[in-house]
Order: sequence, then structure tokens, then C-alpha cells
Amino acid sequence: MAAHAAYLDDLVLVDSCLDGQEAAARDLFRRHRGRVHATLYRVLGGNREMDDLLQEVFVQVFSSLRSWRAEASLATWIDRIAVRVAWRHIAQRKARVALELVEVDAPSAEVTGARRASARDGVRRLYAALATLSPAARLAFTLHELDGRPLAEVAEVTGTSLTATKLRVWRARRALHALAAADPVLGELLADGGGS
Amino acid sequence: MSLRDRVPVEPLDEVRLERLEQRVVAAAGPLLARPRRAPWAPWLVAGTAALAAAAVVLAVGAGRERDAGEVGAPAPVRVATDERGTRLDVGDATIDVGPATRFEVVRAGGGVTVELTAGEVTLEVPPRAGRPPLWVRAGDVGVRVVGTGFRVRRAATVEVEVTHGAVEVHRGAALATVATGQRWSSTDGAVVALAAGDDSTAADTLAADGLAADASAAAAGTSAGTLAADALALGPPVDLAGLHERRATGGPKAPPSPARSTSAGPERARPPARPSAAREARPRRAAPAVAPAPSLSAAELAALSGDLRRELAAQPIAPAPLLPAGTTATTAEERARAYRDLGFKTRADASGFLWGLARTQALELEKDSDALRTLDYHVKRFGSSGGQLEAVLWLRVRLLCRVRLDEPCRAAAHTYLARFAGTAKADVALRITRAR
Repeated sequence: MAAHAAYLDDLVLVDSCLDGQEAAARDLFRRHRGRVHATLYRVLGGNREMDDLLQEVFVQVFSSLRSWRAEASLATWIDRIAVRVAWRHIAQRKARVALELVEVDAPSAEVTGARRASARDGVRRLYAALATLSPAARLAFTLHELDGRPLAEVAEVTGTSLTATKLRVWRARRALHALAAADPVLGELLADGGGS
Repeated sequence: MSLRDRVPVEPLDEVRLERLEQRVVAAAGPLLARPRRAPWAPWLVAGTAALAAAAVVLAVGAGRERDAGEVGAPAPVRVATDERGTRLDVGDATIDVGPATRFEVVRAGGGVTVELTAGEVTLEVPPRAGRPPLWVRAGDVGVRVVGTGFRVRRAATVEVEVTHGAVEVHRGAALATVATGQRWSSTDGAVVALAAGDDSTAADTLAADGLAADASAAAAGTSAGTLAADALALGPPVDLAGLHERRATGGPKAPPSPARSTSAGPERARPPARPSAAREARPRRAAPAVAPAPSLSAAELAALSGDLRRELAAQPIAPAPLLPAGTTATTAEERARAYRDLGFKTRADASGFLWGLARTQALELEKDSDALRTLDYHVKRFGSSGGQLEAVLWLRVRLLCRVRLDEPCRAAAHTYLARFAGTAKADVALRITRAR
């Protein structure tokens, strides 16, 4: 019931946007910005350049809105665009992103408690390790393991087959565990988080 | 604790979000201000699939990357076929592309232009319904169409053949109208009737539409055949003998052809009438292969309109899908709400429920504008894949023709006819398209 109501909402919202209603464009942005931000954050590991990336995603959404055919939900369609933007960002700026992650996610002075500091350190090391993977493997792993999407959905939003997606996630896990063998903090994070 | 829980998302602060929202909404305005492209939505998908199957080359002049930041007309689409040819459904038209054909589709200002460089294209163009016309350009020859089926071949010469409807061929200052079963050639600029053997396409198309009389008339080019076809289309109230008599004695001027009936609108305004001698000199008057339809008196037209509307109302409308057991909906409002809120698992379910909503709005709540809006959503979102297209298009005809047989009504009838020929409803739709 909720799915159908959401579907009709999407239809009405998109149609209003295509009629040039600014309020509808604002509404579309507000409805989807949180999810898109979370996805980009989990794929990239930080908020550096997040404003620009979010803007790029939604500009592409609005410029392509007429091509939305309602075969997928509007959210899934927007997620595909977000994943493409993330992919390109990773592929083009791979080295720089790795450096930024270290800077952005370093423990701040406000952080207290050894456990939390260790967790943040683990996350920082995780993204440093992810930066060594191919963009495809990194996307598949982060969307599945960190963003919590089922493998089939990951395959859909990345435009690949389910088999290829499983393979990429498996390769990413293998590579991360190889790195974790020499990094106890990363190893603890993966073991606690079930990233195996 | 899962890995997902170990990597919390650090939220963006409100100031950043506010600034971002302003930038995005400001950017969205110009992007959404472009002309609507709904009819072309299936273009790239269907076209690419068909082209891939036929081993042809489709080159989009500018990719999505560039398009994303571009404000203005969409990039042109270039198509080239190998020796096999292919078929494209481009929304605005269906194009049968001949072997070794190259053309480009340009969309600007809501209009569509097919620039034919070489080869042969056969187009089936639904009525443009007030939108700018579709053009096919082959060198210095331009073909203007508002809803018809025709073929353009470009080699050493350019040839235009019309299978149904009519097109205007422009070349320099010359203008020729090519109607059903006629051919225009750039060799002499004359319009000639297709020989019976040549016109297999026209005859086949019309026969497939269930219009045997029209088909034979198109193939034979006889005025008797056309009269019979017109009488068939206009229905029992027409006095066939009287019509023959009026034609024989030089009766009133014939009304526009059905294809012309779709062309009303600001941009189709006719130039002032020219002297008859000048009109006689025009190529399109040189060889009328198909006799014009006879005109009717105002009383006859009024009677026809009444009969047509009665027949229209008598045609059955497909039922709405059953509501699931346990759904409490005793009134029409509750049923409409139920269809709107029902959960669905498949695309077919979604299509069915949307149809149920439209049907309830139209026939039970009599909210015609709401129903038309829902129907338009249905066509836009599901097209022919939803399983209710026939019912949806017919209900559009019924709603738009409920009060009067005007231009939107005839456009809806054309749309139905183009998809569903050979049925009792199609017969009614055909009469609507011809009622002036």
C-alpha cells in the first residue's frame, strides 16, 4: 500500500517538477538528499567535497528527469545517478580522496575514550584500505557492507550483473582481510563489523 | 554490531544544506524549463535496442555528461544502418530505416526534424495534436507532416510516397501536397498516383486498419471507391445516392481530408486564398488521384455528431481490477482511494490499479479532468507494457468527445486508431476523425 502511494507521489512530484514548479524541485531535493548523502558518505568516507558532489547528483537528476520512465522507483533511479557520480569521483581523484580521508576522519580533540578513538581510527584505516581497491570493487563493497543494500540492489544501481557484483564484493573482502592481517586495528573493525 | 553501524554518517550542518538547496533549486529552473520530451522518453532505449540488434551505429551528438549542464535543445541523434536496416520506435514516430541509410534526428522548439543524408526512411507519425509539425529534410526537399504514414527515399533523386494521410512537400518556393496513394518525385516535382502494384504498402496499411474500401480506393485511385469508403466511415445516416448526385452536379466544396483535420492550430493558419488560376498551377492540384470527401450540410453534421456520441457511449469500457478481499470500499470515493493506496508487487498490478483509479474517476465520480490526468500518467508511465493501453486510450476518446467532436476529441480518436484498428471501437474512432 505504501509502495503504491509512494509511486503515485513520485509521479505527481516529477510531473510538477517538469511543469517548472520550484516548490516541487525543492521538495524532490529534500525528500532524497538524506539518502543520497548517506550513500555518498559511506562510499567516499567523508564530507569533504560533499556539497559539490550532492549538487552534481541533483543537477544530473533534474537535467535527466524527463527520461525517468517509472520502471524503477524514483529513489532507485536517483541512487543510480549518485553511484555514477561517486564512481567518477573515485576514479578521477583516487589518490587525493585517500589523502583527504586521513585528514577528515582523524580523531579530534573532542573525542574521548579509548574505544571510540580506536573505532574512528579503524574507520580511517578502512577507507585508506578501500582507496587501494578498484573503483568497481570499492563501490560494490561499500554499497553492500556499509550502506546495507542487498546484492541485487547493488547490482541494479551499479548497472552490473548479480554475479559480477558478488565477485567484486568477495574480491574487496579478500583484499581488505589481506591488509587487515598486518593491521590489528583494521582487523578488529572487520571482525567486529562482520566484514567477512 | 555490523560494519554499517561502525561507520556512522556525519550529517551536514543546516547552513551547508540550506546553501546547497538554494544552489540546486536555482540550477533546476533552467534545466526543467526546456520543452517537455515525454513522447521521446522511449527513444533512446527502444532505439538503442533496435539498433544494437540490427548492427547499426547510433551516435548521440552530445553525451549525457555535456547534456547535464546544457540549457537548450537536446543534442541531435545520428543513425546509420548497414545492409540490413532496422525499425525504431521514437515515440513521436515509428521509423522503418532502410539499408545503408543515414539520418539525424534534431529536436528544437518542440518540433522534430529528420535530416536524411542517404537511403530510405518510412515514417508512421501519430497526430501531432497541436505540437509543431515533424519535418523530414532530404537535401533541398522538405516534407512537413502532422500525422500520417509516408516514405522518403533519397538517392540521385528524392521520392516521397504517402501510405495514408497527407504531407506537404516543400522545395524552394514550390509546395505540393501528397495524399494517400500518391508519389512525389524531385525529378519533375509532380504528384502522381501510385500504380496499383506500387501501392502495396498503402493498400496493406489500410487493409490492416480494417478499411477494405479505403484500401481498394487507394490502390485503384477511383472516386467511387473513395465515396464508398467515406459513406462507410460516416455511418448509416449518410444518403449515398444523394452524395453521388451532389458530386455529379458539382456540389459544395469538399471538407479537408482526415489528415488535415489534425492540423488545426495557430501555426497551421492558412494563407489568404489565392486566385483559382494560381492554385491550378500548383503541382498538388495537378493529379488528384483520390477524390475529396463530400461535404455535408450542417444538419447532417449535427445528426452525425449525435449518432457518433451515442455510439461512443455505447461502447463497452474495460472493467477495473478487483479490489483484494478484505478491502472495504462501498462508495466510489472509497474505491478511488483504495486503488490509489493499494500495494502492488508487479508492474502489471501498478498499471491495473492506476487504470482502476482512472475508470472510477471517469465513470463513477465523473471527475473528467482528474481522470484525464490519471490516464495521461498511465500512458506516459506504462505505454503499451501495462496491459490496459486499449482501455486507457478508449476512455480518453470517450471523455474528450463527451461534449463535442472538437480537435482534442479527434486527436484522441486518431491516437486510438493508430494503435487499435479493426475493432468496433476503431470504426467509431474513424468516424470521429472524419466528422467535421
